[in-house]
Amino acid sequence: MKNNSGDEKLDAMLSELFSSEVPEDMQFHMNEADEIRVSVKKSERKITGRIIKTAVACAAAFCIAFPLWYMNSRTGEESTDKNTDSFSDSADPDLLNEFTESSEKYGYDIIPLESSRFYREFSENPFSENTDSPMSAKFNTLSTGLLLYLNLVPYEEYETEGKTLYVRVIDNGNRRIFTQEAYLVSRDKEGRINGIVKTSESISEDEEIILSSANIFKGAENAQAGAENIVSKFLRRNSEVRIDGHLVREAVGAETNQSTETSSACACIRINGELVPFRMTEFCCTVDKKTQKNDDIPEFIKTVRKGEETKFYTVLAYNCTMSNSFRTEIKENTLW
Amino acid sequence: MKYFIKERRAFLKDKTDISKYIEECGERLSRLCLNLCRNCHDADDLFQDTCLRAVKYYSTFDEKQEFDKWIFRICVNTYKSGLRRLYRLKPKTFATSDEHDEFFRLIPDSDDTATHEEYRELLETVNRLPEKYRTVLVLRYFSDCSEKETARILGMPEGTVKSRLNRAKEIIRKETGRNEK
Repeated sequence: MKNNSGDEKLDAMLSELFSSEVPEDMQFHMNEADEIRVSVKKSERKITGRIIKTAVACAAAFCIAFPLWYMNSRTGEESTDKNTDSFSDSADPDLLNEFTESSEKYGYDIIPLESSRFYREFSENPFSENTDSPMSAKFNTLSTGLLLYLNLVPYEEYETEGKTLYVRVIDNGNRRIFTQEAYLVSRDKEGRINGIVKTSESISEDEEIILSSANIFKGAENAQAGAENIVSKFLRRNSEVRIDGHLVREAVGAETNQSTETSSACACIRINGELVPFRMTEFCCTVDKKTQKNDDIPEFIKTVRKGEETKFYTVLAYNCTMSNSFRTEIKENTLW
Repeated sequence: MKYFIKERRAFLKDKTDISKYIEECGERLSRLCLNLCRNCHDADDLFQDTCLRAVKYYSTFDEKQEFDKWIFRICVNTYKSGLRRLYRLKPKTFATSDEHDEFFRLIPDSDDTATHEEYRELLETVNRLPEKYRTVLVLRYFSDCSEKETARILGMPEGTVKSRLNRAKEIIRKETGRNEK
């Protein structure tokens, strides 16, 4: 097709292609009525059987569940996380089959998950210093943040403790990129899958994950420079850090200890229907000094003050361009 | 028992009606199945499954609706449901070279719009499209359905149909443009 072909030509060609009449000898015809009748009769029987089976199952479930519920209500036990656990006890055969087929073709990152409670806490405050929480120091904040950022952990719908997340990754040897395709899998004692949920089902194609304009740096060069700019601002101890005109940290001086750390990971998100790989860099700056509270600090910078110490934490998202994107190397993207 | 006798009578009556309807839109339904499956045998299976489901659920059909749109929707849903996996199991598009030739015979010859080679290139590109885009594209063009009708058949918002169509065309333009380079 010529490059200058217009929409009209494409429309006309598609119309011709799909609407060409099928010759009589290639048309299909409904099979003999008997076959259909038999199928329908069978299905009628199946429905009757199903009703009886369902009734028996409901009665049995009631007999088991009612005493348990009654005892729970008597003892006044609260089930907080379990209320959210609607994870099916039986694996959907179609999904299971898809998962098995997919797992043969694509690589996964296998991530054992902790309780939904942790992810809820994390989403509220990713840099929590709550020492009462046994999990606070356990997780790498970047990877946990990334999983939540991509909506891969369905912590609001399911209890995730003891379950495993299989996240599809694209790997070109140099770079591993998380995708939004993931399965949440639970297994029985023998290791057989007894529950499976495709977490990406909740992400609609048109859903945009809006990154705040403050932490997106468009273009490869801008991305690198933008992030370096923020990091270098923090590294300059003798001058105050201002971002978007707001004072974030005052000068710390030579006598105050300050440490900075960065780490990076890659992921894919959809922006306006386009699959966009991007890099996230986690940046953490710890100052051994209690800094002044400032209410108009940009939202993407979290500040935690504890005792005589202040931590500044942020995730910087680098919006990739086609030139620096791994995507250009994918010959045929069958994931989406 | 009375319930089943009544149902049975209703079914036999329905069966006569639905056969007539299916026959009437048989050509377009065949075309839809062929376009979705890209394989004669699978398309035939899809056609039969669609008919079976249509007969089964005919009692739920609202006479005010257009029958063809109703059955097209069943066809697409059947294709999209678990059965789709079966239709996709064979990676090969054509079982025999005869089937291949027969299929390509359906592609219009060179005309004022485009050359045969361009059609072939377009078909190959369309076949490579992700499922969700291809389904929308097929439905939109196989029977000249409007975007609104396509949305109704697919049971999705019109905006989604529009965006998928645009995206599909964008991919096609990109792919065919790239192939030429």
